[in-house]
Amino acid sequence: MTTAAFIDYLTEEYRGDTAAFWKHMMADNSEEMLMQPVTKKKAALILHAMMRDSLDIKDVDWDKARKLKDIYDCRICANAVAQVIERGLIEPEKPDLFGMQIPMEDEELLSAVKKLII
Amino acid sequence: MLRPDKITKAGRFNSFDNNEILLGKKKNHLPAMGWNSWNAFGSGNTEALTKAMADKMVELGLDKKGYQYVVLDDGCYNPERIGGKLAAEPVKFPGGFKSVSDYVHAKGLKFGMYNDIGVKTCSGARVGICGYEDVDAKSYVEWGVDFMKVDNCYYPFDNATFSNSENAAYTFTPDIRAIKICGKKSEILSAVSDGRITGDRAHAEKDYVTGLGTFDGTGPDASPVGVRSSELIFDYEPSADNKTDNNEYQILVEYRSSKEEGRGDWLQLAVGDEYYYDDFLTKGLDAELSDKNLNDPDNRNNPVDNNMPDLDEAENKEAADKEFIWSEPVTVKLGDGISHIRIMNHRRQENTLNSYSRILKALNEAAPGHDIIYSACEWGKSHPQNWAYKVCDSWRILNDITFRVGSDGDPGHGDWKDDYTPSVTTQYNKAVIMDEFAGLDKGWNDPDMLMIGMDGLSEIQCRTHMTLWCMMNSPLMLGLDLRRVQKGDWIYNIIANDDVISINQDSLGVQAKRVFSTLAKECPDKEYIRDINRVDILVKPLSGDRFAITFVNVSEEDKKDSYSITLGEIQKFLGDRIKSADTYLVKDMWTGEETENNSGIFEVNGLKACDQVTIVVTPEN
Repeated sequence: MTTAAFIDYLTEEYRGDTAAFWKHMMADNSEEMLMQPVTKKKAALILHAMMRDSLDIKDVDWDKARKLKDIYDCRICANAVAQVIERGLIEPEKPDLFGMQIPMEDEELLSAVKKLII
Repeated sequence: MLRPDKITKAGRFNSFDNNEILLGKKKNHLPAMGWNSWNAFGSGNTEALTKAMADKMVELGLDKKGYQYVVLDDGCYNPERIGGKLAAEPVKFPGGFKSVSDYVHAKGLKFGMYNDIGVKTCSGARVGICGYEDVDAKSYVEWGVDFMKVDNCYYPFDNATFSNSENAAYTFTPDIRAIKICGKKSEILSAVSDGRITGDRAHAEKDYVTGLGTFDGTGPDASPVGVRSSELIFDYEPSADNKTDNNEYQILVEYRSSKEEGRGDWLQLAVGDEYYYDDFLTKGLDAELSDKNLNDPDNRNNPVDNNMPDLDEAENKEAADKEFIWSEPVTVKLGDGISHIRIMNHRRQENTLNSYSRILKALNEAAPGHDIIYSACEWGKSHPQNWAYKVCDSWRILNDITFRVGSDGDPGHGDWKDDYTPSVTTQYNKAVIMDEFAGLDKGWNDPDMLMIGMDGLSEIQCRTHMTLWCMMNSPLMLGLDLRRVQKGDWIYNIIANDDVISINQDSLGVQAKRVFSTLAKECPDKEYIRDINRVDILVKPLSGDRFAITFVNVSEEDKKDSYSITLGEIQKFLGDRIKSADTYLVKDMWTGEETENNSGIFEVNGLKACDQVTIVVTPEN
C-alpha cells in the first residue's frame, strides 16, 4: 500500500471532518513521498496526525515507549511512535526496537486503522 | 558520486587544538537569543504563527531584553526542491520566506532558518543542503537570513539519524591485526602486542584492535572531556636489516572490514603528521554507498537498515567471521630514529567539520562580509566541542532536549530528568563541565532550546532551567507559543528577567565553572556526574570584577543542609578573575534583595527540590 492509499483509507474509514488532517498530510508529503510504501515511522506519523487533527485525541505519557532503543533516532516522529505504541495501534518489531524504516504490510496498516477508528 | 572531500591540513584532527578560525568566520558573538519554532510548534509552524510570534516578541518587550532572532526550524520547506532550489511550503508559508523575513526585519528583529548537512532534513523533506551549498546559500542571502541552524539527519558520510547505517564504514577503520613494513626485508608488527592504543574506546580483542575512530557522542553515556577518539600507533625504528637508503618503505595493513559502528572500512595511515593514505580499503565501496545515499534513503529495498543493529545480527556475525586480509602496499617515508606510524580514522569529525565549512564558504561567497550566526545541530555526535568553533557560533552537545514538541494549541512536554537526553538535567549534566570549550573567541556549547512553558515542568524548574542556561552561556532560544504569555505572568517573569539575562550576555563571555558538587570526588569542574541527587555550585566571572554564584539543587527532593563556598575556594578554580575585597555587595538575581558580605563566605541554608539561589557579587574596597 502506498502512503497516499493509506491516507485515503484512513480518511474514508473515519468519515468525519478530516480537512485539517488532509491539509497536514498534503503539506508534509510531496507527490513522490506519497507514492512510497508506508514504513512504520510513516504510519506512526500519519496515525498520530489523525489523532490530533481530526479525532482530538490527546497525547498520553510515555511508558512502554521508553523501552524502545530506536525511539530517539527520530526527532520528528518520536512522539508519534510513542503514542501509537502506548495505544497499541502498531506493535514494535521487537520489545526494545520499534523498527522505524521497516515497511508495513497492508494487513498491519488496516488493523491499525481499525483499532484507532473503532 | 557522493564522496567525502579531501581534507586539508586546516580541517584535520591534528588542527583541532590550534584555535585557528577558518574561512574568516567572525567571532566575539555573545550567545544568541531569540525564538525558535521547533519546541513551540514542531513541523506545524506556519507563516501566520511566525508573524504572531514576532509581534509578541515586540509587544512583550522581549526584543529590548535581547531576544533578537526569529528562527524557522524544520517543516517550513516544500518537501521537494523546485527547479533545484529551496522553496517555502505553499500552504504553511503562502507568502514565501522573503515576506516573512521582511516582516521580521521590519519589527527590528533578525531572521533565522534551518537546514541540514545531509540529503534531506529530519522531517524527510528532500531539501538537505548536501551538494547544494552554493545554490542554497544564494537563496538564504536573498531571503535576508541572519542565523542558520544546520542539522545532521540523512548525512551521507556517517550513520547519522536516517542515514544508511552502513555509512559507519566511513567513520571507523577496519579491525586491524598487524602491519607489515617492507624495506630491504620486511617486518610484521602485531596490533595488539606492538601497537599502542591512544584515546578512548578502541580496544584489543584476541589478536586484533577494534573501535578505531571517534565514538558517537549523541547519547549521555560518555563524558565530553578528553580525547573522544582512538588511534593505533606503532613507534617504529627500522632494524638494520630492513633499513633502506632512501627512507622509503611499503606498509601493508592486515585488516577485516565491515560497515558498522566500531568497525568500518576507511583507513587513515600517517607517519607523524604526514598522511599517506586516507580512503576506503575496499574498492568500489565508495560507489556502492554513494548509490545508496543518493537514492531515497527512505525507499531502499533493504528494510533492515537505519541503525537497527539487532536486526542485522546475521550480517554482524558474518562480518565477525570474515577473514583478515592484507591491504595493497602504501609507500611511506620513515625518518631516521623512531617514527610514529598512525593507524586511525578521524573522518567522523573531519567530514562533519568539512560539511559545515562548505556551507559557510558558500554563504561567504554569496554575501561577503555578511555575519550570519551559525548554529551546528549535529547533536554532539562527532564531539563538535573539539572542532565547531572553527566555523560555527554554537554547537549542540547532545540529542534533543524534548521529543514531545508542541503544536498550535498544545504546549508540548518537557521533563526535569530522564535516562536519555530529553530533560533539563541530562543536558545540564554534560554542558556544565564543558566550559573549557566555550568563549568569545570560540563560541558556545548548546544544551538545546528552552522548554519554559511546556507541560511537565514546574515554575521552579523553569526558573532553574533559565538560570542554568544563562550561567552556562547557552544560546537562549525560547520555544513556546508566546501568545500564551502576558507581561507579569510567571513565564514572562522568568524569560524577561533582566538580571539573569545580563549574566548570559555579560561582555566578559566566560561560561560558569562548577566549583563544587556534593557528588564530586576530586574535580567538580571536570567529573561527569549523571546522578541528579546532588547540589552543585557554579561560579561565573563577570565584567567589572564581579562574579555570579549559583547554588542549585539538581535533585527532586528538598535539601535541608547548608552549602557554602569561600572566596579562596573559588579562586582555586578561577584564579585572579575573582578579586578579594573587604566587602562584597551581593544581589539575588531572582528576589532582587541586596545585602553586604564581609566574610567572603557565600552560603545558602537549604534548597528546595530543583531550585537554585543565584547571586551576583561585587567586590568593594
